[in-house]
Amino acid sequence: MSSEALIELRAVRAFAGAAPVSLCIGRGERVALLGRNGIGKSTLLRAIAGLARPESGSLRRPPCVGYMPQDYRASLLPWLSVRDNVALPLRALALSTREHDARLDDAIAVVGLPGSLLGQTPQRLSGGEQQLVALARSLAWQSQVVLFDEPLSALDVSTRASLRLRLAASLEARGLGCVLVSHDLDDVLSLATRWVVLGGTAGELVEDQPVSVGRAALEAAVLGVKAP
Amino acid sequence: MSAMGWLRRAMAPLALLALWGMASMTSWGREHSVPTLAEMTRAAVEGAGDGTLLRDLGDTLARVLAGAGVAVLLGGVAGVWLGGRPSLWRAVEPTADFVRSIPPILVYPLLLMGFGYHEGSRLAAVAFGGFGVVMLPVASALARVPAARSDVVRLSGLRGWAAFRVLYVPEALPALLMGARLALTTALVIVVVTEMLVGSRYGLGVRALAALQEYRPERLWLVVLLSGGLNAALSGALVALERRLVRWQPG
Repeated sequence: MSSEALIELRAVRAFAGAAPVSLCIGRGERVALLGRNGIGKSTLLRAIAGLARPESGSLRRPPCVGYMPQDYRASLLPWLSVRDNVALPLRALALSTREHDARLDDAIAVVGLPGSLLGQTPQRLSGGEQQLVALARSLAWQSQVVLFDEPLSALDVSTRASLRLRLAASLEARGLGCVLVSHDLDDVLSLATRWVVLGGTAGELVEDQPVSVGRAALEAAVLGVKAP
Repeated sequence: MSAMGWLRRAMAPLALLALWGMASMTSWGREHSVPTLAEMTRAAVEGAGDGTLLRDLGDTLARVLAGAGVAVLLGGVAGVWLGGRPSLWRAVEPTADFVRSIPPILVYPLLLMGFGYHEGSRLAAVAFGGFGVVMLPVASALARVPAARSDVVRLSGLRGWAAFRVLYVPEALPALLMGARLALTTALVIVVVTEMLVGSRYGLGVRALAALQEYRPERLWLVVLLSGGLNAALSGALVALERRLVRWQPG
């Protein structure tokens, strides 16, 4: 394993019947995970998070990761206010009030949650607003890497476009790595520095490229067609 | 609530009282031992005056609260313990459902035979009746906590009591309060019936039995109304508590 690698998967089968996946993700690297529905992207992400034991293989990961699950609605605690939901990952940390509030305000500012929503409970919010809360919470984690499972899927076009830019800038400024599961190529091209495609019949890693190869190559890989 | 709201709420009981008053004055009412409102009032004043009504009500209430309290405590603890272990809960759920289905009143004679004719046996029967109605919903609620929610709490580094307080207590609370309401209703039924059966000097059940033996329908009807009122008051208190404690629940 490279000394700079933060996450390393060696022949990891996320579930029975899945193909083994080997992948090395460096410190500060932002990797998008693509592939058709049901291929095992979210299961692999949960394995990287330490939430699911892989069927086989070895997996090395940092002890603390930020996480935004695909089921963002269910992940919010309905008895806590929006602000307390975002602050959940800070509860176990011995932070001063100043540090705590600074991290919280920073996470809230990145996703652009209006102050008027912070005192409300999540069930009073729209689906898109709930997704913003879950996204802000994933950024509040004191970790070197954040795992995003379709983080912008419920947002309207304009919110999504502006948030991509703010999120990418924030990840870059904090030197924060990420693993991003997404079906949206614009999300991938804006947020990631590298993409990998899982394909075949059992989710083997079929392509691994830097984002710099361009959109056409990404589209071709996702569609299973070689770029001209 | 507005004056109109109160009026709307009062309409149904007032209509019932009027219907009762009219029924009691008919020949059908007299044939079927329906007391008049005046006879009922006299019976209430009489019972309140000599202190027996309050004593009987107090004894029944104490038994209900003690039995339901034990049921909520034990059912809550067992529900949390089992619900926190979903695979174990799936294995024992059918058995737990069977035990809950046993009419608690049938368990009372078993307890009398096994442990003797004293208050402990009654308390145990009442607690048995309430235990299942508390334990089952609490365990089911905790066994069905969305994975995304428990995942996030787990990754946040919260462990032990901190995780329990932030996730499991609020998840269990609505089911616990609903179970407590059912346990109180069940407890009242078991207490009154066991008071009628054996081993009590005071209580609403004793009062009902005495009224039957002395052929005093107005006293019997008074016990019926008091039991209903007691149940409604306890249930109302729990609903109010529920509204304060579980504000995130729809409705």
